[in-house]
Amino acid sequence: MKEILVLGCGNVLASDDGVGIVVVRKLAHAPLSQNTRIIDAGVAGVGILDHFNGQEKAIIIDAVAADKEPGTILLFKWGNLPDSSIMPWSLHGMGLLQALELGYQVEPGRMPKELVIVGIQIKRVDAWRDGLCKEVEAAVPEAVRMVLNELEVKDNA
Amino acid sequence: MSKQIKVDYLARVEGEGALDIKVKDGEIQSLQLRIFEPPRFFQGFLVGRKFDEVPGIVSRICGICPAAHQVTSIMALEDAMGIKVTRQTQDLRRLLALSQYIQSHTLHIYMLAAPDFLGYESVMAMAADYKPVVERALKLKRLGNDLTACIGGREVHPVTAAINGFTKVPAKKELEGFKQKLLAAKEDALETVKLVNTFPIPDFTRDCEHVALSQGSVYALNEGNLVSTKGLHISAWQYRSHIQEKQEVHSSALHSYVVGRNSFMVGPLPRVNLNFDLLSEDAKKAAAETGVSFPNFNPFYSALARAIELVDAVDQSIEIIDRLELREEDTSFEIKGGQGFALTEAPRGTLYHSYIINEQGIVEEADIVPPTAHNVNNMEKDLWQFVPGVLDLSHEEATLRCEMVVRNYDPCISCSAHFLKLNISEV
Repeated sequence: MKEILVLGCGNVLASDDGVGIVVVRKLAHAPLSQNTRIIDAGVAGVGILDHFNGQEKAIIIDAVAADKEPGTILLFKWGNLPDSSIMPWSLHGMGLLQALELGYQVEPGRMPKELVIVGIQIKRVDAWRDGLCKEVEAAVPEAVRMVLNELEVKDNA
Repeated sequence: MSKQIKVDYLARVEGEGALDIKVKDGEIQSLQLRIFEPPRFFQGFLVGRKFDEVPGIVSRICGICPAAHQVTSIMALEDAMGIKVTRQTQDLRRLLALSQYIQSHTLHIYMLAAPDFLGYESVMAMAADYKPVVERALKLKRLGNDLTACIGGREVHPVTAAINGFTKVPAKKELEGFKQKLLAAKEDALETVKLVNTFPIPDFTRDCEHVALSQGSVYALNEGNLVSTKGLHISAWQYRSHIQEKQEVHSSALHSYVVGRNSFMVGPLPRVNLNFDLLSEDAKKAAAETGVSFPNFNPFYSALARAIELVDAVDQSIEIIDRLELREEDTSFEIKGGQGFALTEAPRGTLYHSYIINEQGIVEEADIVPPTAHNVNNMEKDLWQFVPGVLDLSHEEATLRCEMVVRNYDPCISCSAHFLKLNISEV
C-alpha cells in the first residue's frame, strides 16, 4: 500500500509555534485511510528526514512567519517552496526547508514523491505558554480541511 | 584598538539570547553570554499539575532528546513516592537513553562540528564534497530515531515510559531486529571516530572542573553519584547543597557553580574523562588509536568524546538487547506525597530534576536544571581565555573560532530552536 505521511511540526510549549502539532492532533480523530500515518514530529529540524522512506506523499504542517495576518494559511508544494526566511527557525540552523533540501541532495530516493507544506502564520511565540492565540486557533479547522483535501478525504471532521 | 564581538541567536522563541564581548587593547572589557533558560519558567508551568502530566510536558523542553527530560522527571517522581523499579525497566530506560545518544551525537558531529572543522559554511555545502559521509550521518541518526520509537512506542516523543515501568514493552523480536542494524552501525561509528580525529584541533586547554555521573560497574547514564575531577562526590538529593547559581554583574544569565569553587563543565568530554575505564572495549580501543590522551581538558575534543561515546552507545545497545528477556510487568503503584530528586546524563550532559508533590499527587514545587544551564558559566570562562588569542585573525576566522568555542558544548538554547550567528564589529 502506498503510504502518505502527515507531519505536524513545532513546540506546543511555545504558544503559536505548536500550531502544527495542534492540527495533527485534530486529524487523529478524522476518518483517514489506513495508508495515512500521522506523526507528531515536534521540533524536527533535520530529524524530519528520519520519517521518510520513499512515501507517495508527505504533508507537513508548521508555523510560519511570513508577515501575513495571524492565522493566514499558506500552501506550498515542492518545487514551489517559500523563501527559507519565512521558516527560518530551527535547531542549530537547520530549518525545515534546509533539512528537506539536504534530504533531496543526499537521499533523494527516500524523499516523498510529492511534498506539500501547510504553513500557518503565527502571532506570538512566547516560551512556556501553552495554547494558541485566538487568530491562530481560529485557523486550525481550515488547516485541517486543507490537509484532508490533500488526502482526498471528504470533510466531515 | 577596541573591538566588539556580538553573537545573535535567531530565535524560534523571540527576543532571547546574545553574546557580547567588548575588547580593548587586546583585553576583554566585558563578556556577556545571555542564553534563554527555559526550565526556570517551568516552576510556574508545572506547579498545580497532577504528577502524571509532568513527563509528557517536560519531554517538550528539548527537541533533540525528549526522552532525557521525560525519564529524568519520572525517576524524580518515583523517588518522591518511594518507588523502586525493576532491572528490566532500568535496562529499557538505559536503551532509550542510548538511542538518544546515537541521534544527538550524530547530529552534533556531522551537522555542526564537521562543517566547522572541515571549513564549510553548513552541512549542505559539505554534502557536495562529502556525500557518503553525510549519508552515513543520516543513516546513523535514523537508526537512533527508530530505536527510540521502538522502545518509546511512538516517533519522536516517547509515550510508553511511565512511572514504575513501561506501559508497553517492545516485542523481543522487534528489538532483536535492531541488532543487525546496530552491528552494521558499529562500522559507521568507528569511521566517525576516524573522521573526527582528522579535525584540526586548536591548542587550547583550560583547567576547570569536569562533572559527570559515575557508577562503579557501568558507564553511568541514569544512575550513580555526581562526581568531578576536583573531588565532588554527591547523591542526587544533595545536589542543591553543592551546585548553585548566582547572578553575575557582567551577565544576565544565571551562573552555575560548585559551592566553594567555580564554574564546571558537563557533557561528553567530562564523562569520558571521568568514566573512561567503563567505556566498551572497542570504544576504548578506538580512543587509543586516535593518539589523544584522556583525561583531556581541551574543550575542542568534545566532538571526539562524542564519537567515542557513539561507539560505546552502539556496543552497549547490543549488549542490552542480547540480555533483555522482555515481559510485561505490573506498573501499578500507590500515590504518595514527598520530595524526589534525579540526576541523569542527557547527551549534552548532566540533567537535574526535582519535585515536591502532595498526598494527592499535585506538584507543589519543580526544579529543573538542564545541561546547558550547567555549562553557560564555563562557556563564558572558556571565551575569556580564548578570545585574546584570536583577535589577530580576520574577522571571519575569529568569528568562526568563537562560535566553535560555544558549539563545543552543543548548547540547547531553548533547545527547541535557536542557532548561533556571530558578528564581530570594531567600535
